[in-house]
Amino acid sequence: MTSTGKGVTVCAKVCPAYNTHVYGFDSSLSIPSIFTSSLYTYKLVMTSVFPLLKIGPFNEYPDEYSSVDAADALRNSKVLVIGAGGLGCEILKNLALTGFKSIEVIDMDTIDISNLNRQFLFRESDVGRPKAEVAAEFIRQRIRDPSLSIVPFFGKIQDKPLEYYKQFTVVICGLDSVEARRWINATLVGLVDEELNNLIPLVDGGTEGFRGQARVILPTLTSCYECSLDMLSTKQTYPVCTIANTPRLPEHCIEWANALEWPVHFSGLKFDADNPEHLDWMYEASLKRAKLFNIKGVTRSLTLGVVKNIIPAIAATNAIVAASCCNEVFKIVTNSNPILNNYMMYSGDDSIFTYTFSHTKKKDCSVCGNTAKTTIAQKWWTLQDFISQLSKNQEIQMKRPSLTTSTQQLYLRAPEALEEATRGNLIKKLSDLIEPMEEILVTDPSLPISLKVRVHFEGPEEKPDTISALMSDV
Amino acid sequence: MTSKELKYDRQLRLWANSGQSNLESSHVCLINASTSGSEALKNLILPGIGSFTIVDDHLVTDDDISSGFFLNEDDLGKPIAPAMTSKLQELNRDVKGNSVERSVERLVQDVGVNGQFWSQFNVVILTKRHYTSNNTVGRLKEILWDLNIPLLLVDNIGFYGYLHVIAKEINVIETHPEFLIDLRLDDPWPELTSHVNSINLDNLDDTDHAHVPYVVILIKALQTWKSEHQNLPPQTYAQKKQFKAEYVQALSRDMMNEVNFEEASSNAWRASQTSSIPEHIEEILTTVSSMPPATYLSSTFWLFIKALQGFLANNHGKLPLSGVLPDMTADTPNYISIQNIYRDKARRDQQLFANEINSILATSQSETDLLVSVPSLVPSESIQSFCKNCRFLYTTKGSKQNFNKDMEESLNNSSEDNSVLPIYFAMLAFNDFKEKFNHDPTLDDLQMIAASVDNQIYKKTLKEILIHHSKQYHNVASFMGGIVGQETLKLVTRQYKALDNLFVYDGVHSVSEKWKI
Repeated sequence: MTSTGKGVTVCAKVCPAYNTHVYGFDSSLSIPSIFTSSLYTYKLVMTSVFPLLKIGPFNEYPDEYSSVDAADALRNSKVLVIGAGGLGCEILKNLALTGFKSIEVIDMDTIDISNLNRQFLFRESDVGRPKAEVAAEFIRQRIRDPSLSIVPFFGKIQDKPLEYYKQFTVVICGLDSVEARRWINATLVGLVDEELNNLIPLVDGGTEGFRGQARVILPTLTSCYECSLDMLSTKQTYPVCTIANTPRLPEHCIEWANALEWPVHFSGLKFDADNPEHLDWMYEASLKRAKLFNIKGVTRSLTLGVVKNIIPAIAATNAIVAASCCNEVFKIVTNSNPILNNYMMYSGDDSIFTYTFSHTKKKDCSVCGNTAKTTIAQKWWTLQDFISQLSKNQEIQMKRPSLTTSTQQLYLRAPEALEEATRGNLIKKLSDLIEPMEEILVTDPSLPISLKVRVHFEGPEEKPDTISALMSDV
Repeated sequence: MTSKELKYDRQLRLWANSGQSNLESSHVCLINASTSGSEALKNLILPGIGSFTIVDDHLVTDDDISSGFFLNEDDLGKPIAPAMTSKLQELNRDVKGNSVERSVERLVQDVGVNGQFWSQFNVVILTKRHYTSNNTVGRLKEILWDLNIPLLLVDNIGFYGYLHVIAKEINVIETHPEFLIDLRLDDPWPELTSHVNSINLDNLDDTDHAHVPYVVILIKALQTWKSEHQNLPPQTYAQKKQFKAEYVQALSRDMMNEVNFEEASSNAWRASQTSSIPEHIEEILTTVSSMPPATYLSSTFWLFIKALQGFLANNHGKLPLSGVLPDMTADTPNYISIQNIYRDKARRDQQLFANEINSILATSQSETDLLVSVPSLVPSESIQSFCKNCRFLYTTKGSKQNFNKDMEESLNNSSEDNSVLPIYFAMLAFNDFKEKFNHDPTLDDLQMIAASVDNQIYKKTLKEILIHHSKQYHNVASFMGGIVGQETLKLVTRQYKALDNLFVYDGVHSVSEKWKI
């Protein structure tokens, strides 16, 4: 049972023992026998949670709610935690201490020294080991509850078959990757059928410095991750002409070394920011460039920040956002109190401020909507121009899009033969390839989404020969 | 990069080395080893606070283990302060942990110990794991108030929590505003004016014309405007509109394609900004005027404000320049030369400001025979930071009260289920009941407790607390531990604006609010 915020109740799966009234303990404060089992630790965990399962004045389903069902749901639910980093460590601890017994955790990363200022399940001696495994091990060793199962998976979420995701009651994400969030969001939306079976709530948290957000997504019912893609802050990018010709900031010099010089000097070798020799080279090259132009401020730390696109992070903000997310998971599973509908923003850099609101579903959302998005293209754009604009579009953000229409393949990235066959289209004018408002299907190998786009043409037929056109980096 | 720089990289990007060194020389005290308290300490130990001390004379119970991560089965029945200290200590070997197995009641009663014991802390956090009487809390408030040490009162019951910061005074120089930009378009100094005048837009070829920094464009446009408008900047909406269209955009050869003119146009509003002193800075300056030397000499913040007063008197009432120039479309030499003009001016202002400080210190040392220790040397980094941030300084005075009249009035008017204020009063009422009857209230006591306030939401909120009365619900304890962690970090790094002064969280509706008492 899950509240949709409109009084609709769905997803019996969340509360499997929904109709079994076996142990009635609402009226009594004493702990029923199920909580005083031979498993000492199990009892321990419940003492701080037990009172929360009683029916309170804000309960949305007073006629249907039972504490026993809530306790059973908590014990029988299966929670998937995606990410065992700053948020993930907090989430695992929170779930384990609020009565959840069956947890799986997925993370593809290994522990880095810069994680230790906030990822409290890791020690210096763990550097290099898989995060998911070390985190699960630490929680088990600290809590020592034989009824608590934490299964780690060191790998990508994309490695698991769709069937795998169906077993979970709730999925909770503590990720720093937009791509992974889009993938799990689209996957969970895709699992829901017309009778709303397999509706698995997704709780998502994110932080940056003193700020963060927590949200609840009920796939197909409420606004999904893709619906709010345009709320993401855009990554700082610099025009190529600035980087190449008129650098002014230390960042411009670092970008020059990173984007233009590295490929020239080390053709074929991928830059690895975690390799000290690579970073040294990058720093020296940036510094040399800065000196040439009299620009001050290139440091090793700034170099690292720019090339890795580092986002500041502290334990305190992670604690706030993870606790909000886990409180929502607790409410979703037990139904003891209303769940967040559906977005809470948090900001702590100027006093403390939270803003809770209902983000609305987008009709033309490429994941949960059903209408095509309309996008504008200049009549003179080549297919290549159009593709690079698509990748930058806030609501689309596909890195390697392939495009087809109902009648033809415009451009395909793979397989190789089709890539070769369609490559020629890239230099053709888009307005010659398709009709105005014709539907284009856009896909990207990294996302389980196909996006429908209609193109509205405007502007001159021929590319204008102007300064701004020369200066833009289309 | 050193291993410390690597370990703390993600936080140094927020508060830099200055904040880190303040953090590393700080000592925080936690009274009552609750779950929210251990979570708060975790958030301070990980980033490397200097040291922490846990004050608690109780033994570890089932409930402590069931809800807290920094205790386990092995600790059951043992003294909680050392047990929790040892688990927290593991988080960071750079941090020193201490435990004091004494009750806070005894510590505040023992007058002899007060001065030394409490003055070692930068922040004291009091949580409600064990009941602390109103009398003890009151005594602690007085002691810390006199020592000017912030006291953070934290409580959480069920889905609710609050943090109340009781601090005599909080002053912040590095508030981290979004922009530190101060372009002084309305009042360019001679070097800037002569640079602008040396550029003749008409003589430039198209490429150079499209690379003139917008600061130069706006100063030129403003010069023309002022010469035609009694030396006044555009003021009314109509004037600003006219300035943008006829004085800024009109200078462009092709508004569609000259990005620098587009930037000038979208920044045209800056030309109407005056470089006069912001109102809140005027207020701070008024405060220092009535301060005796002993007061302003005992605080770097107020010493700097006193110096700022002198600086303004000698510099036509203009604040020191921040020297921060935003990026703007320009070729490299054009940008660097104008950036140097801003930086040089900022450096000169810092020097003049330093002279003001030195003259205050010299006068005070020779003329008075003060009981305060006068700083003999102020680091140049502090001066730079102050001058850079002087338009955004922050100071506030706190209160020892638990609530104020306005809050009482709004309580009576609460009408929505998600009103947050009733939560705070309901938690205070819970506490008062315990003070009076020496045990927690139950649902049976609802009518009696609710009777004092005639408001249905208040009653409903009280009921929620009495039913979901868990004091150690981990999620809310951890949420409050995060809030306390953040606020303590702000207080000890002396950066960012801290909570002023009451924050209440409603985990039922996932909302929060704050009040100034």
